Amino acid sequence: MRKRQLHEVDPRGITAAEAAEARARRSKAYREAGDEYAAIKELRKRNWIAAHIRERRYELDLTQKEVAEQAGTSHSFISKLESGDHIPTIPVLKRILAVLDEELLIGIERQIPDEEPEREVAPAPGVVAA
Amino acid sequence: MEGTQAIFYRDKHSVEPVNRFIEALPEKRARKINDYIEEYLNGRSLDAPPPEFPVTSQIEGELRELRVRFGNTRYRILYQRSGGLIVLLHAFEKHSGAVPAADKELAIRRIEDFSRRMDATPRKPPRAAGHDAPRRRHIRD
Repeated sequence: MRKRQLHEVDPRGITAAEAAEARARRSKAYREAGDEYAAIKELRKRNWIAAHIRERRYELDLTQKEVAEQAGTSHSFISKLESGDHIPTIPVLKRILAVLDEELLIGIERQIPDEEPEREVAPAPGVVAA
Repeated sequence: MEGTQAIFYRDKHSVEPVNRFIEALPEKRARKINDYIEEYLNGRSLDAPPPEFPVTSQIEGELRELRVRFGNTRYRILYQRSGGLIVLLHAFEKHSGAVPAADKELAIRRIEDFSRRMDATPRKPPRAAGHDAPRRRHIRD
């Protein structure tokens, strides 16, 4: 077998962790993004839907105010929702997700002894005008 | 470091293609991908199964993909484990349903190149130690 000469390039590049640390040292925006994702990760532990909305809005470069205006709700409502302390109604959640280019689905699961649970998933209903 | 460690594949021209790909991305996108690598590929027990779908999925044999979505963009990092190393081979933006054959083949060529060059690495024999170790000789011409 041919032995690799010492001057040949090692196929093992730097570690991903080293590259990430170097970028964090030179970029404030990169560090701020890390803070935001860490906050979203914490939020996800107690309120999955709030974390999802916050992450999606952040990645689409939308402000809370822009989402509120397009969804027909208030800035403070979106702020409370993203803090994880507020549960929206289905019609409001449906409108917010529509602004984020997503659709709300509702799932129902029935437990059946000794069998796989039965599941039904369907688009969430909107509000029908009287 | 205990457990697995993610490293970039480096070609014979000293280019690390996945590192270069991530470096070219805007800060938020790069951060999300790097956080995924740290959370799901680094520091895993050597006998642990790979992270489950949808975080990773099998491409072919031991070749796997790390799946990262940012907004409406889907990023894929193709990687393969080599001992305790997770070798990051190829990264791209995914636009179609399946991973394109050209991307898969590129990753396979790179892991083959990685293995071939690793096998050719000169390795020093283990240093003898203990009371029966040969006496060190200082030879001066």
